[in-house]
Amino acid sequence: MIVLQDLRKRYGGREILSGITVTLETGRVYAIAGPSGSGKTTLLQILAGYEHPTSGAVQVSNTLRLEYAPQDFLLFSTLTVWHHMRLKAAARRLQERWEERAHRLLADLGIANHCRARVGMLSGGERRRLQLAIALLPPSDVLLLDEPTSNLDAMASEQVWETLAREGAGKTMVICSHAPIPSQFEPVRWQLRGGVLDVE
Amino acid sequence: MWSDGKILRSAARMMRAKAPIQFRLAAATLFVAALTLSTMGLFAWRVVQDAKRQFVTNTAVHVILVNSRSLGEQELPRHVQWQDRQRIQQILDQSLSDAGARAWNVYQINFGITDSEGRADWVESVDPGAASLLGLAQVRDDTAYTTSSTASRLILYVPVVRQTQGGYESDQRIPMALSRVEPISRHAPLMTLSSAWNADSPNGRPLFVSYDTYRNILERAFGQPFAGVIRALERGQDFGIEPVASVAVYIPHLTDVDQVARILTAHHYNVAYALGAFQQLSSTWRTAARMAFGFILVTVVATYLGPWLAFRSDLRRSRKDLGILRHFGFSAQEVARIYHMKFRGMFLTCAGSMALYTLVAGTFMFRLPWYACAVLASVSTACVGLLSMVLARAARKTAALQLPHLLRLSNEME
Ligand SMILES: Nc1ncnc2c1ncn2[C@@H]1O[C@H](COP(=O)(O)OP(=O)(O)OP(=O)(O)O)[C@@H](O)[C@H]1O
Ligand SMILES: [Mg+2]
Repeated sequence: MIVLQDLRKRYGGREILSGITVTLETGRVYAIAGPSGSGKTTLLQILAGYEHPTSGAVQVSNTLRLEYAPQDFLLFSTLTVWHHMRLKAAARRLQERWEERAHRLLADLGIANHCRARVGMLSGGERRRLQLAIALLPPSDVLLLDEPTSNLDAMASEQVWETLAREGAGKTMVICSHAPIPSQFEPVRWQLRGGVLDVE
Repeated sequence: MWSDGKILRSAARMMRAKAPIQFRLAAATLFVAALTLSTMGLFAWRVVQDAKRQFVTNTAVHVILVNSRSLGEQELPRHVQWQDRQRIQQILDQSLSDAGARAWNVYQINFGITDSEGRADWVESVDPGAASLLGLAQVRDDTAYTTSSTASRLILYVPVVRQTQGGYESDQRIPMALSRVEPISRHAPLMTLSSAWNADSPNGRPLFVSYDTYRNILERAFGQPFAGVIRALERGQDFGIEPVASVAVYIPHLTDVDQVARILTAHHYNVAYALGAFQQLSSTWRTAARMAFGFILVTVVATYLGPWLAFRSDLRRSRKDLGILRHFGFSAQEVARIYHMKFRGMFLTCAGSMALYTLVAGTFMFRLPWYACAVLASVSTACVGLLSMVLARAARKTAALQLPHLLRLSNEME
């Protein structure tokens, strides 16, 4: 369970989030929509602990394992796809079986044939899927996904949603997306507008 | 199972694979800086070593020469005489007995003596026991000591001096064989103290003999026992010669030299000594040394500023990388260690090769004693180590920055 209480965030003089109070139930999927610049990414960054709120509180039990796939690419352009999987496995201290799992994830997302390619050579959609694979590799309780299907065509999007449905089963997921989220996730749909969250 | 060290090492290896040109440039500047400083240190030490040898270990600075005595304001200085050595020794024994100063005569014969090489010699000698003034262990009776002779033996044609009404005459010469000729160093204390002893001209050259040989020559020239010659001289009889050229005072400890000179001056003796000249120089020297030290310090700082700035700029450029590593889940400390591992090997190589270079170049090129090389090697290793430590600290601070800072700042730079 994650509780946000009267969460506010301002950049300079502009208030991006103006008093958000919600509770995220364990194991549910939350779909946050909203116009560009409304603060969806900002909200995820605060949830991930990358940004501090200007005021208000985020209560996250520190036993929860969070994985965050940001909207921007946080990848090393000179390292290969497989290097990234290894780095993630190392950072999260994954055991020997991780390689198998990493291969399967890359295959599910349709980028297994790019294993030895440098990230600088990948297309935007391939990077997007690599970033997801990295977030899905370690065991986790909460997935924060920012625009998981941007840069992707319909077929690749389909692959992503299928993978997420399988890998995210039982996990709390917060997904920001302009694209509609398949109803098989049974998401709680929220609109972020004017700095506040409205239930649709 | 992953061991932590292995994880970080493999991460560091991956990061090293993406080392940009800036990093290699920084590494190159580090090597150049370390090489420059090692060489500078070796060179400076060599210079100091040479200066020391010239001024401190040179026995010339232990010697004071007394040439004359000035009694009154109006009177001309009087040349040192036969009795002066004893007087000087007494003065020193009374005023400064701890110094253990010894006074010796330096003898001369005022007329030139021709030899089998066809040259005129100014024959000189020192008291028995004063061989060190000539830079010799002993002075042999059968040997002629000179700075310039290629002959293996030498015959002196000693003139027999006859007193006439107008002065002195000589129409007879007695040959006197010296069966050996040995060189004398131009760096011997007496030679460095007075240019007269170094004068080697077609008109004559200085030729040193033992005290006994010197006496022998005088006895033959004047046709009477040496004691008789001295007695006559003490009575003030004029033989046309001044046997005592000067009194040389040897002072075992450098720190006493100045005071001995002052005491002798107080007793109206006119002194000349190398240390005096050296001390006049030394205040200038001290300023120069202080300036040189300051200059070296500034150079050290400036030289290391180059690699330091280069590494700092690499660190700033690496901010995003550090941020991504943090995003992957490494802790700030781990990220700092990964970055540190990226350059640690290079610093170790640099420190090691500099230590080796300093030892080898110091021993074989600069010919410094081993401890000097060891000290300089440790200093240059320490400099590299210090830079590495400072850089590791900077990396720790950078890695601990808040993630948006790490990720955003470098976004702006791209
Ligand atoms: N670090 C920052 N400093 C200043 N302003 C910022 C910063 N980050 C975001 N903003 C501003 O906050 C607003 C919300 O940005 P955010 O990225 O959260 O929007 P978003 O809803 O994710 O938009 P999009 O759908 O385009 O991704 C934007 O107007 C942006 O300019
Ligand atoms: Mg966004």
